[in-house]
Amino acid sequence: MKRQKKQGKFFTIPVIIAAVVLAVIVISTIFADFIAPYDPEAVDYNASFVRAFSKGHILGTDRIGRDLLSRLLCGAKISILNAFMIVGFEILAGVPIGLISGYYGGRIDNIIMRIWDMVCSLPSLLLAFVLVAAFGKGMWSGIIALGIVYTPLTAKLARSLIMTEKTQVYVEAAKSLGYTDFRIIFRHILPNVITTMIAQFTLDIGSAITSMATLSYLGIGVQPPLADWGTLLKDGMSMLYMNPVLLIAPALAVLITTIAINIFSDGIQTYIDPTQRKLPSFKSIYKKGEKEKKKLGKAVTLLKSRKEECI
Amino acid sequence: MDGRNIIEINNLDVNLMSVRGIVHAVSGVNMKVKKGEVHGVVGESGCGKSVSAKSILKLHDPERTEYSGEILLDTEEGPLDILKMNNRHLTNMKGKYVSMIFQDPMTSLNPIMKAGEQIAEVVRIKKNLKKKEAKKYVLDIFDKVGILPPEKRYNQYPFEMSGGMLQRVMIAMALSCEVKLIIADEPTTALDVTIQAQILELMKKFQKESNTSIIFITHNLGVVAEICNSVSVMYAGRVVESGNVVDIFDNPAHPYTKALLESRPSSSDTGKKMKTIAGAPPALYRKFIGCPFEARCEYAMDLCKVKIPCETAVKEEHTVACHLYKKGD
Amino acid sequence: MHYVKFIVKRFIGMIPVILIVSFLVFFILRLSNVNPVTVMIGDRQSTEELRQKLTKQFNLDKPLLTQYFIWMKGIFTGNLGVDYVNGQDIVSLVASRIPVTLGLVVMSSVIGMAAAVLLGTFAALYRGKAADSIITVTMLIFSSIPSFLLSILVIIVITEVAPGYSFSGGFSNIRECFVRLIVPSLIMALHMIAMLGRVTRSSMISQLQAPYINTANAKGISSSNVTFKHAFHNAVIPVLTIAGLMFANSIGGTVLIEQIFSLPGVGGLLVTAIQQYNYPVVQILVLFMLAIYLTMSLIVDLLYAVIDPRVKLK
Repeated sequence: MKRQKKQGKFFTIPVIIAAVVLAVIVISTIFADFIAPYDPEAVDYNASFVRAFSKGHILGTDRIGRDLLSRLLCGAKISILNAFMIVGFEILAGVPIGLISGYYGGRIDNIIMRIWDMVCSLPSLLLAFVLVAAFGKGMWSGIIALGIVYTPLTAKLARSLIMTEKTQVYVEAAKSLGYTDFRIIFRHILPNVITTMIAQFTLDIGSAITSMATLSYLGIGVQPPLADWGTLLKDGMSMLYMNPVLLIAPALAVLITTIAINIFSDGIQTYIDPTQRKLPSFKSIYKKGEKEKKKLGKAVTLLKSRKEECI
Repeated sequence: MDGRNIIEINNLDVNLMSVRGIVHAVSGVNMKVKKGEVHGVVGESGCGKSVSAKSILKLHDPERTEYSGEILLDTEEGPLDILKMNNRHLTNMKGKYVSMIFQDPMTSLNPIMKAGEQIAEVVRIKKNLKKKEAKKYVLDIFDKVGILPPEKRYNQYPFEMSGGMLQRVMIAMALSCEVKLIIADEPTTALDVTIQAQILELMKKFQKESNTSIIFITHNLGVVAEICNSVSVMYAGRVVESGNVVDIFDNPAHPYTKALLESRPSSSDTGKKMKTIAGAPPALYRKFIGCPFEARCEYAMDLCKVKIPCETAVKEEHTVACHLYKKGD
Repeated sequence: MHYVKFIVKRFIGMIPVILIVSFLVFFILRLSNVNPVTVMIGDRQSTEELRQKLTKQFNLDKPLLTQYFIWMKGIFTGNLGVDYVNGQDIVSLVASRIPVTLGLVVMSSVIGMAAAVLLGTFAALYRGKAADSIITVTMLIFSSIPSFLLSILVIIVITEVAPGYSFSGGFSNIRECFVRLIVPSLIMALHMIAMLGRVTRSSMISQLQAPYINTANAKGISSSNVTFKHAFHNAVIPVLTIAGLMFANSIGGTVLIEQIFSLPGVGGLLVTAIQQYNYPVVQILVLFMLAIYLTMSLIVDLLYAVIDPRVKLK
């Protein structure tokens, strides 16, 4: 039997736009060093506060003449790399913990869940602050602190997914075949729950970018001379009345990136969950049928007018 | 419409919008249910039994469903087409003329509302009773359908009751407003075998007492033989054969009905290999050109591939849709 | 009666959590390689005499565990001594900062939850229509905007549009408090609406598709009855869980908002304390926020028991 094509597209217009935006951001991040017209740290006192859209400096410069576009591009690199590292940390630490805790249940699960409760009883941002305070401010403490903050949430997600999944028949079957638990968890169950997790991880990249930017904005994240978007925001805020572009440009960068990531992740989630997916209307399908009929002489799609005839 | 019938379904089409496209879940279904009779609807899973039943109350998501044809209900104001009713009219009709019992009592009751309250809620509206009177009324019904002790059960939540008890609650709900027609959508499928028998007994008893009509949907032919007066056999969204229960069981006309009856295990078959119908029902994404059962039918002819058979009467009140039975034969 | 028993039990259960967190916070902060005495001396001239005096005053010569016990004793007796940087009494310092933070949290939560539930339900009921799309997209956008960025943008816009609006000012009467807190509260609420509204919407949609809704529809009760008495009541339960979490996060959120709007609240104090290595203040603030969080989750659990009969208080 021919498999019917799924209705309801993944690539809806907002998702396409988000995907294109993300692609542009990622590519320009990878090639930041080649694209950037200047060295982001190059100081030029003769070009202090150059206005935006002037020759040589498309986005203008700051107080000490650093080119904003170059700083934005290299800041993107740091911001995005940091976000990936934070999410990498949460995956490496959180997923195995959650899977093991959910799969075995009982004592191990209980202990892990107690610790989880303890960690989550602190607001996440607060926990990050305390950890940064302990590790000493800086980019790496920020990454590790946020990684630790995100880990319990990932573990909790993995745990809840495996709890429902482990009751499935195929898990019983794998058990009865005598496979090791390790193999069952990572070869059999993981592939079945990975899509839901991926939607969450894309979302986490977005929030990791903003969390890290928050730390940097408060001056306890990335330290000069390195600059991520948070640092640029902080600098821009202090020079708001001299050159507002210095604040607006990084603000837009963070906004566009996080919104695009959210729309993309939302697209994945909506696509996975058929109850949330928007279906086409009957009218639109019949219209398509009429169009095909006009074009091809016959309709591949349905026609409303077609009735079954019997004898 | 015939005055002896409580409901007449004429040429009903129901199209559902699904993730994989339009499903022609019900195509050209005709069904007549007489007053005071139990009409069985049988067929495999996914043959449109439940969809047609739910259409009688227009329970499908209006955004994703397309109806055509007519469902005539015999009311005090004469026959009315349910599909043409407006929302207010429809709400009034439900619980006054028609009520429904669902397959899975565990999920079909509101999990966070007291069992008694869920019935009292309807009784207050439909019977115009005050809060106290409604409660007394519900307690009486609970007593009748064997939900004991009524007072305690009234205040219990669905999660505190067993499946059998919950199905009794559903039945109590269906009976509470003294409707003319009850649609029972596989009311015993989700229950234990022993409980199934009790529930069937209960339904039979009340049907006799109140002379209500029942549309009884099931895939269990044994249940049909036990409780129904007449039967419609459904396949791929259409009725392939219908008639009274004796005719269908003793002289099945449609090859599908025959196959269904043969694949039923009975004590005389001990030691023999059980008969099955090869293959699975077709998906309903496309309209058919030939007979939907053609691929699985042992009597299939060339004609079956290209023409859809119409309903033909083989006897009074016994119709079949099959090319083996031509008009006038 | 069982409510009282439950509350007492939960309060007893909080003690080990608070003890363990206090222990962890105390020792994690001591991992840092910044010397407290240097922090205390600050700009003053560092003499050996002064160093020794401070070391003795803050018990820094005693073993860490003893220091911890002294601190714990201070918590129970309400005497936490003075902070490292300004030598102010910690208890009165924190106490003076509480009202602003509390006002911010309560105001934003009330606005946020009410609006989120309303908008989410509305969007679910008009699912697939234009109104739904507008609400969902707006929520999606606002949920992706970090609140500190939103605050900055709002400040810029307000200074452009209404240059007379003052972000500074006193807290001497209710009107002044309201004027100063409303903008930051709205910003915090907006984030909450965006997150919680989406949860409400999807919860409501899935409840509207539940089998018991079919039953309710088949009974012949009005559709508004089905929607609100049956679906909404069920849909609100998961929303409550998320709302509890959001509330906890809003305590963390105040840290940023207070810093940006320079509000004299607990959060701003915390950021300053972290930046200045003023650990006695950091310690007690973390415990304080933890206590608020635990009390809040207790209230959520109680509400749960009221709304959902399946939940038994244990």
